[in-house]
Amino acid sequence: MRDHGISRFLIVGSGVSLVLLLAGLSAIASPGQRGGGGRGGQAAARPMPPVPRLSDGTPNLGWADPAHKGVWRTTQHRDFAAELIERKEEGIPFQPWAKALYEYRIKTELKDDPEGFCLPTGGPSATSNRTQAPWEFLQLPEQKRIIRIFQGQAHMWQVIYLDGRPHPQEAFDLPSWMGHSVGHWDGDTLVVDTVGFNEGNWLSVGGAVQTSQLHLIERFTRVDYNNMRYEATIDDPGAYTRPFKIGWNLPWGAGQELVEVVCVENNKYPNLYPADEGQFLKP
Amino acid sequence: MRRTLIGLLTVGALALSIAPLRAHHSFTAEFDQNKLITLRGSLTKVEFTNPHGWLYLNVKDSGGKVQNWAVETGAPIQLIRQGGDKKSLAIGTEIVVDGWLARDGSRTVNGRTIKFGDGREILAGSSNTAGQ
Repeated sequence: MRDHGISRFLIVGSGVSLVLLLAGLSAIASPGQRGGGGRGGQAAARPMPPVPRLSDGTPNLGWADPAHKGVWRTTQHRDFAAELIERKEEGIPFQPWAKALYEYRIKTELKDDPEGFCLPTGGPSATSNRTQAPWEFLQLPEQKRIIRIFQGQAHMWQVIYLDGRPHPQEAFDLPSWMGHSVGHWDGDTLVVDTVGFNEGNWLSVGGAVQTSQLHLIERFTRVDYNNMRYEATIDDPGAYTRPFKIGWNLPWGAGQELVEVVCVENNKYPNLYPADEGQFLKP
Repeated sequence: MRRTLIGLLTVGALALSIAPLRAHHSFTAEFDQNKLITLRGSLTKVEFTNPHGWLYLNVKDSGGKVQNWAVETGAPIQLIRQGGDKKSLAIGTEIVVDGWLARDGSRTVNGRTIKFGDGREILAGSSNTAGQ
């Protein structure tokens, strides 16, 4: 009897999970092909709400109201070569030293990934990291700034100033994990310009290199209620021979809220950290 | 056969649909993908902590000697949302864990699944995700 109950639970659980999974994949598949309406061919599907907007008409990149809460879900992108949106056939334009370091990191099984040590994943890795922890935009138009808060890693937040200020010299003199960000709206796209990164972070989970010369321009577009298009221009003359562009889609986690995750709370990765590189270096 | 299929389907589907909290470190740097083992034992200590939960089990080896093993799980919220809460993982509870052995030779595994005495099985929130 109990087995039957468990089987029923498993069947229902499987069904529900698969429906959720397929719905999620469907939503991610081709966001640009839908407007604010429902999904073609799915008569029973609830119509997708339109992209919410603030009173001044600016797209609302977060909750419309408590009944329409949610978070943006980071998707993991290890190999930025696969995410290039221009000149894809040329691959990542590494400088020789950066390519050598990238290859070393792969050969050593990415053991030195700063995320494993609970360090902040700023830059493009904030939107492509290993943990895939969700995040939110909090828009404060009266204050002319947007705050991005992240659930994972080191309790990160990023302030994006929209008051027209330039990057201060201090951002370069005291480089940081998240850098210094200013932003503006290009139509319905939030453009975020960030400089002043330190060199502790990796550009990608896959081990691509980032230097303090990184000038990052990110474009966030809520293409429909459930999907954000993310595109970034990486201009880092310290590690690459030319700027390059990457991009992917981010799904909205409807109904979800951020929870507290303090990565350093009980991180045992350093205990098991394979300091002996010899075991990885194969001839 | 049918039950196995359903079980696999459930585990696979749940793995893709539960909250997207994944391990924050390289799986292959710490654990051996080719050494999946099964541990049966009683809980001696439970840490519902981030970035990973940790379960400690007293396990009898083939010679009858009791050894304490450490099991890395996903973030505690992953366990709790599947019903792996403090009540079901109370000290002294007998569980069966499938997991991948640590490379450093210590009695540590990265948990894949946790099975309870009533047959209920949940994902342990392993960091061995596709693409590792």
